[in-house]
Amino acid sequence: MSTASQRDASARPPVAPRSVSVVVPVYDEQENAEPLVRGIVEAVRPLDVPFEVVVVDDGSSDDTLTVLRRLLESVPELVVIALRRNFGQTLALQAGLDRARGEAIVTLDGDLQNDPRDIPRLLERLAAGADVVSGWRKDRQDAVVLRKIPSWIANRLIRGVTGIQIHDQGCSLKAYRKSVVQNLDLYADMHRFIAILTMPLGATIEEIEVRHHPRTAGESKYGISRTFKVMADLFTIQMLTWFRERPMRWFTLLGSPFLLLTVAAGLLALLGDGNMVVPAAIVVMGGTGFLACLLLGLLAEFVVSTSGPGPKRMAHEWREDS
Amino acid sequence: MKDTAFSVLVSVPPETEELLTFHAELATELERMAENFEVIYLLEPPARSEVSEQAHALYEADPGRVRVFHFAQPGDRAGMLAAGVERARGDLLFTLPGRFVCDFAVLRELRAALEDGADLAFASRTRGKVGGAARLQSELFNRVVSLASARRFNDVASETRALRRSVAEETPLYGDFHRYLPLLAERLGFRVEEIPARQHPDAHPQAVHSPLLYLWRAIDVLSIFFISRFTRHPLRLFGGVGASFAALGGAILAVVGVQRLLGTPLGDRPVLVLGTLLVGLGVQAFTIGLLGELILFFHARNLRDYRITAVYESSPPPLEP
Repeated sequence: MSTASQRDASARPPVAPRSVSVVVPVYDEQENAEPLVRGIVEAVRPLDVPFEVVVVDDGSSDDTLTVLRRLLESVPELVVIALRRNFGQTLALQAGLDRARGEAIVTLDGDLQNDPRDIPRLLERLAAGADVVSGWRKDRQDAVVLRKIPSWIANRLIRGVTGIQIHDQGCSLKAYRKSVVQNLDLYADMHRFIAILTMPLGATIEEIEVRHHPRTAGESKYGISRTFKVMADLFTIQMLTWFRERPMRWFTLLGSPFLLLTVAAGLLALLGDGNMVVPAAIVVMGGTGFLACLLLGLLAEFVVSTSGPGPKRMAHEWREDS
Repeated sequence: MKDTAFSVLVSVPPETEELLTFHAELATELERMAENFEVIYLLEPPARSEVSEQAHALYEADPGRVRVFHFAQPGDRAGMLAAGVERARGDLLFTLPGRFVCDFAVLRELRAALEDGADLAFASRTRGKVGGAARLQSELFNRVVSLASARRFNDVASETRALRRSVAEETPLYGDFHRYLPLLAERLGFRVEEIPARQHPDAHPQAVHSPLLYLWRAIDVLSIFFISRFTRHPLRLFGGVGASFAALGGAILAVVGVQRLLGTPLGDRPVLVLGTLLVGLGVQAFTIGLLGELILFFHARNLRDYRITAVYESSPPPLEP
């Protein structure tokens, strides 16, 4: 087990969540849906806390929704949300998080590769004081070339760029305090980076090893192209993390190459061979470019300052125990 | 009046000449479909007095089923449509251009498509031998829109449509985007179908438009390209464009720099200006993308891009507060 936060989770009294929501987005998982729901119920019911299983059908084209609706008769804790079409995992997850009512929220994939029997262990760590508990598929049961190697590279990069010492960002099996996720608004493909997004809020993140099984039914929805998208999104999120705090400073930094070019061209004009036309053109262009960056920075400041209470400013609220 | 079976919204352009004939033929077809319908004529400003008079005469002749809306602001077709939808009494809506385009018989097929589960159905004009140049333009336009949006429709801008009220209410329309309603509705998860329709015998497809119109359509396609693919990933587009420019400019500057070290003077090298310009453009594109991401991030709280069809749960629901 590793703790990724800068702060010590034991520094404040642990607050055990009094109810649990398990949120699972599913897409074309008709064979897995029933064993998944029953597995979750079997794992959580013995904990003797009120719970619900929120399954979001992300516009499945097979009989997933029919299977889930049939299960409602025998599983009173089940809530099924049917989306109008396939909106993708992030939005399906957001739909589930928006509906989840538990004080603790557990997320996992619908393909049965995550093991619901790990849920109680995640909840234990939340009760001990963590805000986010992330699963680590140490013994991952996936194809080496298409999944494990790209994932290993991606995780190394994420650790290097963000400084968050989590081995397996891609593991969907995670537990959160609701107060953490209710401050997050997911769009695009951000579901992979929830742990990173919670860091600026001051969340205590822990990681524990979890089981991982090979897929036995249904088909994987991802290919290797996902790796490139993950990298692009990681870059975007890191940029956002930097820029949303002090946009003017960062936009000015982005404009600094123009300033350098302007200075270099000016020096060339002064010390060069006497031809002034090209250096003068560069001075004008560089100066204009630098000015444009400054103005965009001001515009960014305007956007940030007029955007109301963002996640950062709400951090203090969710830190209060309830 | 909740018992209106459907409402037909007709956009009437100022140059319309044959509104009386149009209505007579339309009403005949609509009467075959239901008794209790309404036709709302949306008169595009500046409406000529002849058009207003004809519309008013239609209202006078059948005030229970014909309504006429006048508008003040020219060019706001999306606003006119929204006003029509807001005041329409039926939950099933048809939209039509105020001139002969498709054979009205297609309206029944459009309604059947909605009864079969579609949320929006539109008529795709099969032009036959009529209007060769117009047909060519239309095909070219639809192919370009398909490329931009990654969704193939044969006649996406067709104004002959049937739709559920929820489609019109949930799909944000502004500017000229009402033309691309099928694309925008499908993004929100609505089921869209395209029904081939015969061209009306009196249709006069216009072969040549003003150059400005072609420019506007080209800009529309660019907007659709962005909306369809990058509204949630602005940095992917702007960053990609910016990185390409900056890389090219950087390479030029590097080559020129090496040449300078080897003794070639820099002061009279226009390529230096090109390299600087490309780097500048690259950084600018990148910063605009970042600004887009910032706006998106801070407004994500108001964005819920998913649409829920239904929530199924036991009664009482688990964890009910």
